[in-house]
Amino acid sequence: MRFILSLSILIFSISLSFATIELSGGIRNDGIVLKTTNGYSFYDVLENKLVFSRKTEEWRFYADLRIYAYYGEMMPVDYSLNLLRAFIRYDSKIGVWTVGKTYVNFGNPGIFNPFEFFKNLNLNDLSYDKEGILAFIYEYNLSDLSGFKLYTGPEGGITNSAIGGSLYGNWQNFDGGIVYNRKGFSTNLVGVYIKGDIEIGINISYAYHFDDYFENRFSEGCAGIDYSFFEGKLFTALTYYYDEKGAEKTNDYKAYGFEDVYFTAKHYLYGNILYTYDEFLSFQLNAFYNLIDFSSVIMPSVKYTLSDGLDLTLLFSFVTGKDGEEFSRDALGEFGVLLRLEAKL
Amino acid sequence: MNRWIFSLLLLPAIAFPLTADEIIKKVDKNQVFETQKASATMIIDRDGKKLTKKMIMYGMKEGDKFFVEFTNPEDKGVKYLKINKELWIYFPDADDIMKISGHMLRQGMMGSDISYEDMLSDDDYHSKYSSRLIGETNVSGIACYDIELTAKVTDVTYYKERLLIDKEKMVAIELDLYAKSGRLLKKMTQTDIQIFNGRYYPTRLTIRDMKRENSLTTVVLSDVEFDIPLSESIFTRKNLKK
Repeated sequence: MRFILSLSILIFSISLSFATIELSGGIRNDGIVLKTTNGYSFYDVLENKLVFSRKTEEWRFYADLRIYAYYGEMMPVDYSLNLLRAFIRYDSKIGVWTVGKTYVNFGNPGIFNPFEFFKNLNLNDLSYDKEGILAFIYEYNLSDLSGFKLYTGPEGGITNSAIGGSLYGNWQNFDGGIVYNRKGFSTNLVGVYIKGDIEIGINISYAYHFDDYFENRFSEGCAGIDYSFFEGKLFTALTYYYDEKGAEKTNDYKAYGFEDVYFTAKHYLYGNILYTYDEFLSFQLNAFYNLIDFSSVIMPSVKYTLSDGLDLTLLFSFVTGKDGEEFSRDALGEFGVLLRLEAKL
Repeated sequence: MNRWIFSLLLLPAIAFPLTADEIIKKVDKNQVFETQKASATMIIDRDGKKLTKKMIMYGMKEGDKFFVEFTNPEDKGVKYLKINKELWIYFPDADDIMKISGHMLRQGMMGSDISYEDMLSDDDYHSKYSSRLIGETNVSGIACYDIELTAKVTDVTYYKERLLIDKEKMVAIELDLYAKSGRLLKKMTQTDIQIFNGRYYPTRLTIRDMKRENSLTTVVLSDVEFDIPLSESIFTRKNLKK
């Protein structure tokens, strides 16, 4: 593993000296203390983010490589490597072409988006960058704010390959679009989404999933509102999520664990409150509420900017569920504390 | 007879001083543009601790369009597109565009004392405010008009503004910005006035949010160009992901 790491860094370093490639990125360290029923445990994740990019008037190259180092008995490996993105985007007169490992996104970005390829969430960082897929994307703009996007992601044979598209636009302060996506063999969805505001922010997404035989069908959707007070200093948002296929009984879904997994119950409520005291200090509260077993995970955090590009975050997590419920102490511990130091380079 | 001639000569100066409306129109003529391109450095100062943001800004009056690309290392590649009251932000890490709700435009841009509305707006005073000349005064040796503006439409950020306007250059050099309740929200100064294509324009702005203590945001403009040909394609969703 260390050999692969060293080799990767060496290759990138050599490529840097031969091309006009910019290097940026960051480094962050998460130290986590977890109070479990058996006592306290500690683990640490160090993430190095290396972004290689080159931009010209007509095309750009972008690669995002993450190198992780782990410490702690709960960690399965010592090191890992993940190429989150590596794509070339060419802007021609007849559209924009993207090829490589890229983020294929439809709909409204957010915690619950029925159109996401990988819906897994990282509870330690809800805005963590989603991993891309190997794909070819073509996008054509019909006007300043409207257009269509088509993509294909090859996967062992045509019938297994992903293919999809979206037509999107803007009307009366609202962005909206329709989506068709075949994620893989016999896995299809069609849907619509809107996002805009009438004094309060509104976002609604709906997807209808079906297989090739139209036998396994189900709906998935979310609806959210947001509003800010005190000139934007206090931001609040509430989102309801529905998954027709989701479990209705506690026993039917796995308790939430440490792996990044998507929620599996039928109904959820997600709340977010962000108070920006000033440009250096902000407080945030995130909470997920399972409407089937009424368990919840509550995550207050405080972020302080030490200097340009250097942030310190302290995050707590508490669960309210009993054993067997989704957000329960036996799965997530009685409480957790995360201290994050992050530098952007 | 001589007295008549003398009086006639003085008439323009005595009988026709500029009205508040005329002063405001002259200020508008300096500050409202068809197109604009500038580099900006924003320094956010809080209790002596400083954050610096750098950006390239494009503006187009028709359609009330703005496009901003951040160039400082921490925010490099983050882009804003504002069209009328709608705002989209592109995050390079996620390679995704997010539409921001309209109520968020009142928020401080990148955490500064300057809101998105303050920064990304070129509204003329005349069409949105009624004006009243309070008098004349002197600020650091500069003769100024003292003008009070009161909103006559609802879609303005500040209900009332008090401007001290440089009489020679017709640029507001001090601005007090009030809420409808009469509360002073922000104090702004505009200095380092330069001439661009025959118009006077301030290149250094400071804003102090009166609800915060020891907080100051300074914006320094450079490479300013007005009324230059700008492609419509700058102000598009496509350009955010470029």
